[in-house]
Amino acid sequence: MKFRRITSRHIVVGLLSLSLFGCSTLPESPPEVPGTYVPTVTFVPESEGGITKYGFSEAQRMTVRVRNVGCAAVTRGTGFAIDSTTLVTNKHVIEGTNELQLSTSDGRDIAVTGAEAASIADLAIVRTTDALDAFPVLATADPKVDDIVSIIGYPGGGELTLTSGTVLEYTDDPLNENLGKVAVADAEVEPGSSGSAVLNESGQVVGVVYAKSSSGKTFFIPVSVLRTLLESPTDFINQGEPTCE
Amino acid sequence: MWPITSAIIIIVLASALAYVIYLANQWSVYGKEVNAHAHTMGVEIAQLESELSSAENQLDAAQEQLSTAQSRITELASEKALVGDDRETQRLLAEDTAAIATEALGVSSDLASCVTRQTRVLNAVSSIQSTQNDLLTERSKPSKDQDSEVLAQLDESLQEEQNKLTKASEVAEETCQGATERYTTLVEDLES
Repeated sequence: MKFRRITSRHIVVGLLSLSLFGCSTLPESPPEVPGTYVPTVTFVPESEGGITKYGFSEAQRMTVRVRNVGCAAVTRGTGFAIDSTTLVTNKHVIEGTNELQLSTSDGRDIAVTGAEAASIADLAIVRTTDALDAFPVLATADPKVDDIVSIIGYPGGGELTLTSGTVLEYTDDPLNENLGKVAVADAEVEPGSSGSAVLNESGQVVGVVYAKSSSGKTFFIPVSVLRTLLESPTDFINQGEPTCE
Repeated sequence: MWPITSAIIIIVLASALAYVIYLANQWSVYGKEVNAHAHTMGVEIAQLESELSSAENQLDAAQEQLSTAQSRITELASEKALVGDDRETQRLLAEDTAAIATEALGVSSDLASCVTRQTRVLNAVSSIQSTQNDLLTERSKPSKDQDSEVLAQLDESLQEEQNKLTKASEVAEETCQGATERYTTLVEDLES
């Protein structure tokens, strides 16, 4: 075995190599300390869930209680806004009226300018001077059987109430007041619910309540009928004041 | 060669040591500044967490109050609406009552007229009886004592009074029949 003698050259070369290797493993100088570590975040509000002014939902705000002061009696129903000064209800809700009085779920009174009833369906529109501050979207298609629907109205003229159920079937109108088929649902309604909006799960209007059977089933006019009538305003006839004897 | 080699070694090691010390100082300063920042942020986070907790509590309370207020508003709106229904019903009732009272007043007036007309008939009957008595008295006298002029006047008066009675009876019958019909209609309206 042969050994070579370590010379000073070897030492210098080794030392320089070690220095270079050592320097390469040393950390770099620290960066400048940033002014802040807090990142900029853009605030994205969560969905409001339909809750708007004063905590009332769109569905609550669009729904109006209708009081029909006739010659001999006071009757009650429900209506819902379709624009800022127009609301939809049933023809039988406004029939024989001397005066229509509207109020919202937060107790405001809405002044009425006139009412028109449809000739071929139990539907009517009421014009207001005061603005209605929320109105829903009318669905483009009728609900299908087994679809879940909600009904918001004033059953018995009491508090604003939301009930839910499913569409059971389409059938001929048992009261013969509407052309075409009407829908049947198992959502609960009472007298006073007439004219209530039937909403789908997206909150769009898919119908208008007009009757209830003795077995508790709810009959409503599909939105397609409402749309057709609203597109031809001549189908609505102005309601004159009745003559009280 | 060893002295030179030693010098080079010392210089290299000294340089390396100086660089390492410099780096260490730099990192030490950096570490202190980061630490200070971390402390400041920690304080801020603690402060913000405290404020967030307080804000969340306030929000919960506000939501509860909003929910209560909303329920109360809905209740009051419903009560107001029902009071409005009652008001309108009472107004209709008051109007009906006023109409009935007016009609009853009319019926009462018609019945009063009927009574007045009947009184006139009675007066006419009484007047006829009086004239007939006078006539009987005059005719019961002996023929020579009878005054034909008086008899003629009494006959004429009796005829006039009978005419008046006939007319008064017709008027009374018409008035009383109208009053009776109006009364019957009112009773039927009240019963329906």
